[in-house]
Amino acid sequence: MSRMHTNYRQNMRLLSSRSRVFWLLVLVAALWYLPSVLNNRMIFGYGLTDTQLLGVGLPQVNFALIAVMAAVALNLLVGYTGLLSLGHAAFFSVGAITSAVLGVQHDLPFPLVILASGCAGAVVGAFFGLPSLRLRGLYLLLSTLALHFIALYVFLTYQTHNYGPAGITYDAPSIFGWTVDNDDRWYTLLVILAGVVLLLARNLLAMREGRALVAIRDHDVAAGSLGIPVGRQRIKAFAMTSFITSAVGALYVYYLGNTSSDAYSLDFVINYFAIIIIGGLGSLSGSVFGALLWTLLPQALQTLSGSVSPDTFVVGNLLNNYQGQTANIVLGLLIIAIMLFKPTGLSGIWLGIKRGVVRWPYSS
Amino acid sequence: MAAFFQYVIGGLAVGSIYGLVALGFVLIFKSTDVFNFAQGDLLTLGAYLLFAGVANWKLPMIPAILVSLVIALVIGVAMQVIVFRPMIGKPLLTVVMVTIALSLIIKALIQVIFGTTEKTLPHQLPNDPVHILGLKVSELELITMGVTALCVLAFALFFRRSKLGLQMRATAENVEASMLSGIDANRVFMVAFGLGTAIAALGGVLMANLQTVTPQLSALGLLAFPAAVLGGLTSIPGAIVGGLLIGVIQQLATGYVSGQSANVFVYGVLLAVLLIRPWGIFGRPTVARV
Repeated sequence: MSRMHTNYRQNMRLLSSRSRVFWLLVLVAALWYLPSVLNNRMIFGYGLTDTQLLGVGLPQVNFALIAVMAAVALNLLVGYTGLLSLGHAAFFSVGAITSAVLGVQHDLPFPLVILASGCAGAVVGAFFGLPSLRLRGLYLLLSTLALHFIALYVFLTYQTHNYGPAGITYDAPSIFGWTVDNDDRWYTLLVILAGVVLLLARNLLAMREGRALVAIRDHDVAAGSLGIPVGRQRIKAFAMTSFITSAVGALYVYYLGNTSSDAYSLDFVINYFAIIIIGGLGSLSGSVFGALLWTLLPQALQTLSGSVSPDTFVVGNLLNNYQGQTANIVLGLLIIAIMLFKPTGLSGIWLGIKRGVVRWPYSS
Repeated sequence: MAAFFQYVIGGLAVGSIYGLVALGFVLIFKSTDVFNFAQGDLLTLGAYLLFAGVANWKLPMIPAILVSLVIALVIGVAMQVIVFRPMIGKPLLTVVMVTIALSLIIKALIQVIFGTTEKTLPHQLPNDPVHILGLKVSELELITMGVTALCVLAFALFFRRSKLGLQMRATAENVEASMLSGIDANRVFMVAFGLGTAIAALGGVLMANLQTVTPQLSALGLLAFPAAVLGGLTSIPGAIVGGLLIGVIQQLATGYVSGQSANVFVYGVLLAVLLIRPWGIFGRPTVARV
């Protein structure tokens, strides 16, 4: 277990112990080896069937990595600053529009497009944050819902004027001559970016700025009386979240290759809310766990329910014909179970296991 | 000008359905503090229950409606007992997450049982046009508005005159104090969930007569949130007025601008009201203390 921190410098240190360095190296090695496992369908020479891998391939992993980044961003806003916002799909669509204007119409280089998407997102995000100066809790949630529909309408109008109902098509991007045109290269790019986003978020939270956000979440009036500029910090939190989300939104549409305004529905937002709540509010590892679970589990459940023989008593046919629905029902029941027995989410479960192992046999 | 009044009447008809769903939402939120994201799916549930009654069990319209409402009531009570009773006292977002999960499950179950295709009722409530003051109104729209008015009246009487209604108001005001004076809070929560689900289902039943029955109906049910917030989130007449307002704005925007922009206007008005009166039209302001 980590020792008690006695000053902020210790709190900010990244690799505070040998075991941390060790586990980080293990993680890097695993991430390095993962594409070859998924592409060759074998691990250390042993062949694996599709069902054993739960139908997961590199594309699912890439979507999961995108979800990890967006979930970390949303957790900064909802979990750490305590601001409820349904603007996540709108921020994604800002990224999609910006990259359509700059990347597709004006053919600017890819890294510049991603950066510009982030900046455009930050501006829109600051605007989304304005009602937070006056509204609290559920009322703020509803006001961001209003902005969500306005952003979506802008997207729809832009799309119908310039592209039509088929949606916007994005070419494979290239970074200084390195064309990102297959899943392996996307995996490399996304793993690096996800690492950067996690590192930035972790650093932010270990610093004065991050502690101010948590103070505002815990009690805004008290935080204000301690000299934290509550309004400004709230707008900043919105801007930071939307910077990351819009940049991720641009990556997302480039990875998909095609997008259309109806992809950014309210369900899209609710999915991200589900990710951070299941993972654990106010926990970075929670965002990672939640995003992985939420993006990989439906695929796994569909594969499993498809692999059941149709002759199985009563449920066989049902599981085969309604794979998506079965996945949703199981997912729903799982969420209810987690919320019922472990409201702190997956990060809470993980922490419990870790403590149990470290303190064994004294753990309760 | 005739077109304007036509839109307003159409808006009042769909608006009263939104109002009903919002009323169910407020009933649940006020007494149990559950912000129910599955409210839209309860509307879909009502529509499909009616379809099952009329098409599968071959019931006439009125008994089919009554049967769907009773089933919805039972489902609501079951939801409270099985899922929400153990969640009492948990943080707001945890409970919200559970309602999202329920919404997933209800949607998936409906699709498994009824399939994903659109359904039309084999026979409907009367829908002939009636002329009032030079305006063409369908009987169905009149029935919808009449049913909503009746519901509001019934609820007003229920909360003022009946013992159970008074108990529900007391619990909404202060759970501990009401329990000290001998009110069974669990029973009140059960009734609130049952009634809230049944009312949303009633909205669905009316909606099934106005248009086809599809899993996408829950998107319309989502308009219950702005309706409830416009009314102040805990006010029962507020929910109905909010619903009517949203129905009218939606129809006017669809008629004069475009169907796609309707949401922008609906939520734009919501945003404006929130910024001017954050506590809604009928709500009361609260003061924060350190």
